Amino acid sequence: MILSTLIWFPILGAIALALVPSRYLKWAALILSGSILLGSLWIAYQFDITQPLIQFREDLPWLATLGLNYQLGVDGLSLPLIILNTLLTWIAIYSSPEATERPRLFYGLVLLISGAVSGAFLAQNLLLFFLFYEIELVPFYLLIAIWGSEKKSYAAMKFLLYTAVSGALIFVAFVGLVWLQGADSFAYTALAGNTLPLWQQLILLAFVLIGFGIKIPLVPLHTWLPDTYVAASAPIAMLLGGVLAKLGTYGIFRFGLGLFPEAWGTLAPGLATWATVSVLYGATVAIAQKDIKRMVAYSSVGHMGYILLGGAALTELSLVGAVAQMFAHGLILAILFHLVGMVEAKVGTRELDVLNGLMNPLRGLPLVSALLVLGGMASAGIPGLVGFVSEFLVFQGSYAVFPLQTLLCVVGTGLTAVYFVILLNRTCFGKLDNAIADFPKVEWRERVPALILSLTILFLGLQPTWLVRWSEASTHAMVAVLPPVTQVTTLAQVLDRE
Amino acid sequence: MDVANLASQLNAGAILPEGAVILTLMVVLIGELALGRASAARWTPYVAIAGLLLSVGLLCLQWDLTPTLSFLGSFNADKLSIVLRSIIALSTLVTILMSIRYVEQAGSSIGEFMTILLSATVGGMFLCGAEELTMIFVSLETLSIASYLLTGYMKRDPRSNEAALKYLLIGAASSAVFLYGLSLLYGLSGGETHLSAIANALAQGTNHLGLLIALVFVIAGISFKIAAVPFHQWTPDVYEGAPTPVVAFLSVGSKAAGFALAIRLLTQAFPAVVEQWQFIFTALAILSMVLGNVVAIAQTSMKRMLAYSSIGQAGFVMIGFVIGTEAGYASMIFYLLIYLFMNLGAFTCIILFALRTGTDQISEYAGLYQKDPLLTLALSLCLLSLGGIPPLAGFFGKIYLFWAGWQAGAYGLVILGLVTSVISIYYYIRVVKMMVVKEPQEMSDVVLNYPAINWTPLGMRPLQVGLFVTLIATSIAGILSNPLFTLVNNAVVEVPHLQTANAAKTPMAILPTTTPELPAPLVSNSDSTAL
Amino acid sequence: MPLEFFLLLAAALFCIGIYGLITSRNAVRVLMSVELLLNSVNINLVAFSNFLDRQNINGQVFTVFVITVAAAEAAVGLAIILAIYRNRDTVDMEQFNLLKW
Repeated sequence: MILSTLIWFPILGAIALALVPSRYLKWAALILSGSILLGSLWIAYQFDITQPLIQFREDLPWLATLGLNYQLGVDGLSLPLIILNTLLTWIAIYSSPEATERPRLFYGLVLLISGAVSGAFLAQNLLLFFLFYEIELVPFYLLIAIWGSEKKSYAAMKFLLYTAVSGALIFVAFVGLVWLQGADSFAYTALAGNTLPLWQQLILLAFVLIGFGIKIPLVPLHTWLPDTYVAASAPIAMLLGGVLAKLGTYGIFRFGLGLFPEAWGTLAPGLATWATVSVLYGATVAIAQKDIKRMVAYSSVGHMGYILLGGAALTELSLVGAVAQMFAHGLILAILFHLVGMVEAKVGTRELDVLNGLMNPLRGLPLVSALLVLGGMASAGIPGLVGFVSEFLVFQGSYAVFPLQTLLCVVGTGLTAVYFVILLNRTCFGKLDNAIADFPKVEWRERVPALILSLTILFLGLQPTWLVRWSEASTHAMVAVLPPVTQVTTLAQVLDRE
Repeated sequence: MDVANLASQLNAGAILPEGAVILTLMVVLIGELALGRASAARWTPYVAIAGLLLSVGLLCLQWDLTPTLSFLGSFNADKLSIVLRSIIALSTLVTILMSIRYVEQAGSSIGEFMTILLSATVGGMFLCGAEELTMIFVSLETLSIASYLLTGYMKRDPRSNEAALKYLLIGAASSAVFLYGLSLLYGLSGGETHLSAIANALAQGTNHLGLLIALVFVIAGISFKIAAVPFHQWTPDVYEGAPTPVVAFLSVGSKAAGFALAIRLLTQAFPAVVEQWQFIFTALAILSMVLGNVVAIAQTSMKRMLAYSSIGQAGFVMIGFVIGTEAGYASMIFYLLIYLFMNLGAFTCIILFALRTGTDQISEYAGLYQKDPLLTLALSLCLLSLGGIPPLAGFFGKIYLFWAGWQAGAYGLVILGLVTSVISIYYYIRVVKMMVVKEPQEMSDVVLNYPAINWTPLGMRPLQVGLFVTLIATSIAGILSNPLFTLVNNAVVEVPHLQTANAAKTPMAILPTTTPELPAPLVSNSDSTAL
Repeated sequence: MPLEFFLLLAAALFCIGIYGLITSRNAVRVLMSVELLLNSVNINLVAFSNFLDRQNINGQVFTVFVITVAAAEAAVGLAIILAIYRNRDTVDMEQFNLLKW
């Protein structure tokens, strides 16, 4: 029952917030999200890391005609993401400004999203996953459209339509799979070992890849991302980049790799190339940005590419790395968006040309800029921080299979360092113009989220076992059932074989 | 055959539910005359509601009876007809709840309104079970003529007049065309008027050209009733001009009756040309989904937007109809049931807003969240449900439809349905955005001067009840859809001719393999319906 | 006389009705065209009934119903035209343009 709690506690809590007096709203939301954070940690504590299969199973009949049953479970792939989700929900609520307009709706929607995203990560039924995947659509739309900054209306609509299209594609893939397989239910376990011919698998996998590719997003499906991330307020951007994008990568791993391993193996070289294009594109476009939030947004495009690379390589190490990268990227993006939001709130601008010398210990924002440096370093993959661990694992695992693509991705990491140096150099260092240096004070409680995140980043960077131990068994099992990937498999050969 | 014997053969018990409605109608009509118009507003709606509840109750009691043909084979009270009749009776029920205050505020007579609305209901309910051409025609016209009167009910309002005239002229012409098709059917079958006898007679004949002409005329008549593109031109005008509760009834009750007619007439009388009519309906479904959903984007009036949205929704329902499988019919009827609640819920909200502010322009809804959270919540949920957002009922309705369509191999239709659903989300969310997202300073003038919420005036309580009932049904009918769907499925399984319609189909065909030639063999393997 | 003659007459009447429906500007004339349509159906039904169904004469019974319903339809139609005439002082179809056609 503990898994259901993770879903229903926040959702019912969101409804219950309607009855809470406005003074205690934030407290109530914090308590609710804090308790699901503890719940997810408790699951991690109970989790058997040697066991590769789904644990904590829950299975209730629901709509049998549709093959939609209430089936939940958690494994090494979803567990880190669950914790990421509950952690970032708590931080998003904590870091939302005191003066948030319409707080009741805001906290309600955030909690609703938390429940729905947990549901999507936990669902062991394809249709149930789709249901949860679609539920977060409207709350996110409202969160962007109401509490966003300039161009919020346009950005929110763009987000909504892209996500709806992605949902439609995924639905087609799921329905197509169940129908072709002749299964009478959408249960994941019943479909995992499907025996479809390769060409059918390839078509379905294409739908899955494009559908989730919009969500991740991968170039060239990413055009909604900069607008949306920039328009969203800092806590929402955190959730968008930290959690929602992970729904895409999780979906690609669970429903692309997990359901169509053979087709995945065939497409792997193409996927690795696609990932490389994403990485290089994200990094180069980020270098050209003048707006720090936009820069961080584009950095996300690049970093999601590593995850796909790790998945494409399909070695044990690369997969562990990819899962670790999902978690690490969630933390890093969250801290970056949080700090950028802080800078914007205090200084009043995000323009690289205007910002200067925030490191100034007296009149600047010394701690914020110090943590920004830490976040940038983590993002660029400096050893000792969590970003390094996951990227190193991905590269180490992928190099043997896709040397060229991996090398180009390493170049991408170098480019990441370039734009973060630009960002840090312009904003944190240099001379602070005394005329504008009249910033409001950063209070201690405002520092808490960034401190928690940076301590986690530091801790997992120094103690990487804690990052990868959860998923090792599951990813190991994933690789074990797969055919080995070789560079020589091409589409033409597949068609010959048919 | 003496009279007593004849009376026992009529099997009149099958139409007890209709009898209850007719009785109510008479009570309302005579009671209003006897007690005067002034007091009528206080009791007639409640009598009508009681009568409809009684009728639905009687329908439930008939569920377990073995279906028999009554009135010498003119009326079939099988489970399918029971479900469809209940849908029509329920839609009238909710329409009454929302109309009391509206008619009262417009200063028209409520008793007469109830009488005409109940006659329309009787017509629709009879249509659901009609199995004989005369019966079909008379009940269809009862429904139609009552609808014309309802449309023109605001007789001092030139827009209502104009809408009524347009509806009447187009409606009468289309029913004449439909009737011409029926007369051809009568001739082709060699003088049979019962649908099953017609099917038997036609099975022996080879005159497919004549049958096709009859089919085209009949489909034109039906498409007018369900407002399928390209027979939809009346819809936006009539919806805009007619009183809003009438629009609600037309978009749900009348449309359900049209689909009931389509199911019965086409599957039973035209099994010989099943591919042709499924092909025509596929085209109608595609056009309706595309045009309805695309044109709705451009609308500025809420009623007009819902008019186009209802055209698009009819397109979704037609997916279930054209695939011709049991699951298809079941999901289609289930969607009609869900659509009843969500669409009537949306109309209840629009009426409430119009009563308080006197407008139904979408832009006037700006900032409503601040003034009336309940209305905002209800309207948002109903619209999102129409757009198919989980976990609301519309999502499950669409999943049932699309899943049934996919299983029958109609990939093209399902994918088009998904694409147009995404489009529809755009215009539904636009209204939600207007109400929820707008800042207080962007509030429209009418919302700025929004009156204090007051549920006490005459007719406001029923409106509130209607609002809550539809809201709750829209929220949970999907999640708890298992028993409902099983019910509908049972109703469909027991109808024999729905299976015969599917006999000629091959499930694996993806594209039309051969074009059926004329005259086509009775059972052919070609499949022109599944896109 | 063969059955075809009656059917041709009915078809011709139907076409005239459709033509009148499309071209008339006066609302009453449109209503009359609808009546023409219904009457063509009546000819059809009676002819079929006479040639094919002498036993039950279902078609003739049907015709009686059609005539009755047509009368009701005409009554409602004229009532609506009357109402619109009171409000607008015209029954010209071209003038009814409050709603987008």
